[in-house]
Amino acid sequence: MSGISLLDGEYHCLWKQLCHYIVDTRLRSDSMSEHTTLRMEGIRKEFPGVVANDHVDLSVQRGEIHGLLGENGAGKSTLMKILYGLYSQDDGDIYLDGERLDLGSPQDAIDAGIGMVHQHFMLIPRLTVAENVVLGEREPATAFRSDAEDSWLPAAVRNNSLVQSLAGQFSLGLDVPEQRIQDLADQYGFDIDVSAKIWELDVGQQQRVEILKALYRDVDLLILDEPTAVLTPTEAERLFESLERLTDEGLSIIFITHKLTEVDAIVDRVTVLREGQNVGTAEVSSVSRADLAEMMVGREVLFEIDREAVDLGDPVLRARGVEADDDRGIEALSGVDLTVRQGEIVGIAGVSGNGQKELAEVIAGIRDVTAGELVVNGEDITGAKPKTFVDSGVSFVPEDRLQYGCAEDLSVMHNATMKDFRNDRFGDRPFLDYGELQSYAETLVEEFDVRGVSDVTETEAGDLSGGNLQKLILAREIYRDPDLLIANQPTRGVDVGAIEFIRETLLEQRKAGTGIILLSEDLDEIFDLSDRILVAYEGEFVYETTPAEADRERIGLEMTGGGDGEDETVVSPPQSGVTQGSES
Amino acid sequence: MVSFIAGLLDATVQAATVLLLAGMGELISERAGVLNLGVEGMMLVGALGGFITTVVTGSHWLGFGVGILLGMVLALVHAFLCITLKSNQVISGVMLTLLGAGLTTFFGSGWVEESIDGFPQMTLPLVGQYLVDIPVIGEAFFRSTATDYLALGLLVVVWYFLHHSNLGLEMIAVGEDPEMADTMGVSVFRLRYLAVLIGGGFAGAAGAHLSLAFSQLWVPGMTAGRGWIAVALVIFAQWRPRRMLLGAYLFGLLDALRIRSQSISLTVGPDTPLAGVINPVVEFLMTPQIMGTYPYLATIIVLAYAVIRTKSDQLAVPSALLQSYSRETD
Amino acid sequence: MNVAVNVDAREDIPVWLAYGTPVFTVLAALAVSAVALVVLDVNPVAAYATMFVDTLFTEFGLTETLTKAVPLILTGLAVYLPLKAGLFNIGAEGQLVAGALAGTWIGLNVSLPGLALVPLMFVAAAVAGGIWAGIPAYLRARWDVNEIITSLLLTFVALEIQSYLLRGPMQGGTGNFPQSERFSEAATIPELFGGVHAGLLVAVCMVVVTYVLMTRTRLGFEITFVGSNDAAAQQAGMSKFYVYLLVFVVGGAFAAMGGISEIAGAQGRYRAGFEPGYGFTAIPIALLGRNSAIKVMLAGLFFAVLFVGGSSMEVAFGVPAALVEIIQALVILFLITAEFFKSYRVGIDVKRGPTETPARPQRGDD
Repeated sequence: MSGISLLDGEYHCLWKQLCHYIVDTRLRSDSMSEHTTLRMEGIRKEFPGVVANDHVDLSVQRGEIHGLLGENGAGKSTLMKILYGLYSQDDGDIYLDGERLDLGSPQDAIDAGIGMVHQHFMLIPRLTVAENVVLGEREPATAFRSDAEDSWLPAAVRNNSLVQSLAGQFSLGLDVPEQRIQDLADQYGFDIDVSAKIWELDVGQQQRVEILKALYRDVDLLILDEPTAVLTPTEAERLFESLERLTDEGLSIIFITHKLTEVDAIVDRVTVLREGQNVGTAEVSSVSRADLAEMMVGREVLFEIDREAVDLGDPVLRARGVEADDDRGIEALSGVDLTVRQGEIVGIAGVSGNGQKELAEVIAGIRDVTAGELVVNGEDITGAKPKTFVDSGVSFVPEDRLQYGCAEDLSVMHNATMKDFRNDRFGDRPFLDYGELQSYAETLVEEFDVRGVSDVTETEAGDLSGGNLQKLILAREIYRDPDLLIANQPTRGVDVGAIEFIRETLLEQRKAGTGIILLSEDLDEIFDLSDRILVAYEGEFVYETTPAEADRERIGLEMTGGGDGEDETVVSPPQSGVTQGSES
Repeated sequence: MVSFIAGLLDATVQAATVLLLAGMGELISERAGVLNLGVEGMMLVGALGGFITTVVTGSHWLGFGVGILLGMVLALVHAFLCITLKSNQVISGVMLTLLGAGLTTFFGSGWVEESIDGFPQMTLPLVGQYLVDIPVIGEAFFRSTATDYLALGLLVVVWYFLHHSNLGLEMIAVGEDPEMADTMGVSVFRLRYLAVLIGGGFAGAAGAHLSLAFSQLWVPGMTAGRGWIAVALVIFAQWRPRRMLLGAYLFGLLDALRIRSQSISLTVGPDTPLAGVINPVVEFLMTPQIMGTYPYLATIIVLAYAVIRTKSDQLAVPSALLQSYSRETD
Repeated sequence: MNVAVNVDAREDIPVWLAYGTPVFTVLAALAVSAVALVVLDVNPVAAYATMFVDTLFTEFGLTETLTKAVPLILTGLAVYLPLKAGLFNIGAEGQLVAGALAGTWIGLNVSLPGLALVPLMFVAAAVAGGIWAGIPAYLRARWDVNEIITSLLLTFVALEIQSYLLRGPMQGGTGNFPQSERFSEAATIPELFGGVHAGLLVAVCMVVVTYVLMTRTRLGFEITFVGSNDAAAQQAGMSKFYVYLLVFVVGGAFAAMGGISEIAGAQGRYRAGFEPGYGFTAIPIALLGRNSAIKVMLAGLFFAVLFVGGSSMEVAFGVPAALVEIIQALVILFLITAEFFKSYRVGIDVKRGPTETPARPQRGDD
């Protein structure tokens, strides 16, 4: 997030101190505890342009479920990847049971007893559970096992290292491992058939296999990265039960999440990260959800952005009852209603993974709906091809720039004109005036301050920095004077200067009468820019408000599922003709 | 009639061996994620190399060994280009076939006149003499060259290796999800290199079998597209060793039938209804060249059917086929 | 002592590397092939002299080169166009044959004056080639069935059909050989100049058409974009389906025209094996000329020189013309090796002393 005004900086400093004070009084002193199993001290990790972990301390006690809470970009993933050996820290140390660890690779981590269950499963669908679990362990045929009791091979032969090596490579004995895996599964209440193929299992079971992979290798510390992101509530329940049993047996667990409901349900102590820093650690039983939300999401910041009053026009978008699935076929949108008017910015707040990506894609026309309708400028274009959406005046700034937003091997000129090259201004059909394309691209680059472009026909899109590429994409989408603009995380991964520019551009476009849907994880951004705010959670809108009336903590709560169960259906927007007030 | 069938089976078995050897190698390579379109070229160098060695040394086993080695040399180039340099597997393979064809035509034209004592037909030790007497199939299946038997034996070894050994499991993993395998401590590079070299060795063996056992001579271009059929065979068999056996015999049978098709007449009597339509059609379908298209058409149909009908995560195709792998740390 | 090979991604490509690569690879290929010549006791310098000098500086050599260039350029385009869209047309050989057969059939069975007959033959060829290419294209565009395998296999099907027709329904002449009847005067492509038939005109025209298509039309823009990132292209409203079909069908038509022009222009009758695998040679040609139809034409001309030179070398030195195939294959193998060095800088460090700890991984944040 950008900290622009000095006022903000001071507040941050004070607030952090306050937070720490509140939390420290509830903290149990842990550095002296003999129950501490993991200690990460002063971890620092920097990537070009961003400090992902800024002197982070973390300590986990044996047998506890320790939550790691924070928004995307807070640094939780990085911290855990360091712990798991995928990254190396720039500074700081890791101690496991008092012993200093040097983790150069995932194998080192496994050897040290640290296991990780990734959010995106690393499983091979074609192989069985047992095969996935034992991969890499080189379990030899049963007769060759060193622990085989009634093998026909004498122990001396079996234990010979050459024999072990050859047997490990050229044979595969699944009987003993399968039994062991089955025992582990039963022990922790996993309902799994070890000889089933992975593709036959449902998502919850697949996740259990991921856990088994770690358990099979005798880990003492298990890291779970947002495990419930792929689970239904019932499956999540069962996972929690399993986790309890694991800790009963002495396993320690780090549970990464951004959902407060989960913190309540399963976590013993929680550490909150924000902007790469450890904001505090607390016993879950002694903090409220509100406190946690505040720590996660930060203090309300007063920006000096001038948002003028704008007359709202007719609706440019009417979406009713929209349902859609994600790439895996799981339902991501479960009945969304959304109306956007000319000159209105609707901000959709929420942590990534609650259906925002799918919503953006559905409205942009690149994802099919499974139910519901989409009406743009009065025309029902549900189920139409992307071209229809483009021609209807819909512009899209996608979340993943490189996947949908541009062709990185092509020039700036190509990318600047990818949506409009069919326009009459570029020559008579079927020809294309590349000279015109070039000057159009140059205009965009000039007006939108896209830097790093020596020659629009030579510089490739992939060579631009994140911020400049985003400006280029935004330029392209806005310059065509769209009726509806969807901007999904428009300032993510963008440098501070570009962020300001992008935000102001959005406001200008709002003045010009475009209806804008802004999806962002950055609450400051939502507050500064939106006329209305909707909170997305698990595929629906759960709360609606305006910046004037908004209660930041309440929004934080809703974003993390901590709402008090009130079913807030989307309130219909004010009648046209009523203006939005300005913010001071 | 009986002798016709016996002769047909004999030819089938002989044709199948070449396909089986080349196909097995390609199967392993592809399951590890590397497509090898250079099979035809590797077969050719194996054929020529084996032939020359046998002419010079008089030993067909030595020739066979050299053939395997030469196939592996060409495969090493392919492996280096595709795995280390992460080049495009299609281009590398096709160019190696071109290279192999060019090299063998270039160097081999002087050896066309030579003759050798190739692998003799033999029966299996001990039981062979009895098995040969089995009517109809006896001669076909149980009097063959050593390399024919070897091919069948190797099929069992390959099947076992792939599905019942850790190296085989790791190879499959590497061809499905190299990143996952890497995280589990499996060496993607090493296994892919191994797979490609094995593939080249088998292709070389197939070629050597061709020049030393099947035809016992050398002619430029003698593989006559069998390498491509082997590639098709792997797809037809949906990457399963046991189905490959079936497929090799099926394709081999088609090949044998094709050669003999002129001497069969499957026409119906002129009084049968629609005889005027059926007979020409059947005759057309039985012409040798048309029959030559069947393996290719069958493969296209099987491939298309498999891709269209199967859910994407259950496709038989190794998921990481054609994808180069590098840890982002490189 | 510890030797470490460091591979770092390059930021940009040095100019000398970018432009010099085709030249270097050709030189390298020639140098390595020289070894093969030496093995057969032939002086490589003399052999290459015959190959290049004789070809380029005699009238016969030049006309032969230009004649051979026609099918090479056309099949080169047939692979080039789909490549721009990100697809591999390995089946150009089959499309060439399909076109040659269709064109020949028209030429032998339809009575029209030459002015009408020859264009009709070309059209028939183009349609046949387009259909032959359309099958793998449709399977890919609609169901994502790999076009490499399907187009390749259809090539062999086409070759078998060719064999059937030439020994059966289309057999002509004395009836003993797999060849067709001689073409009539009307069915023969007229001479353009000095022994080179008008097929060259067709080839050059198609080069121009392709060049204009790719550099000056909306369709060309779309093809380029789909070839670079089809997800972004579809988001922008472009049609991957349409583009895929188009490039393959047009490519197939090109290859087909290459086929019929060789038969009706250079050979006068359809003989089995009338061409030494131009459809496969097209792959190196398209790769060399990867960036522009003009370059494809130049690559086609170069390969024509190789073919013609190879034949005269064979005559002069008794060395099999297959050397040409070796050279062609090496050119591309060196080319793809060079691709790697264009993108990465490789350095070798030799350190004395204990092994250093491995460099820390530097991955960007997700």
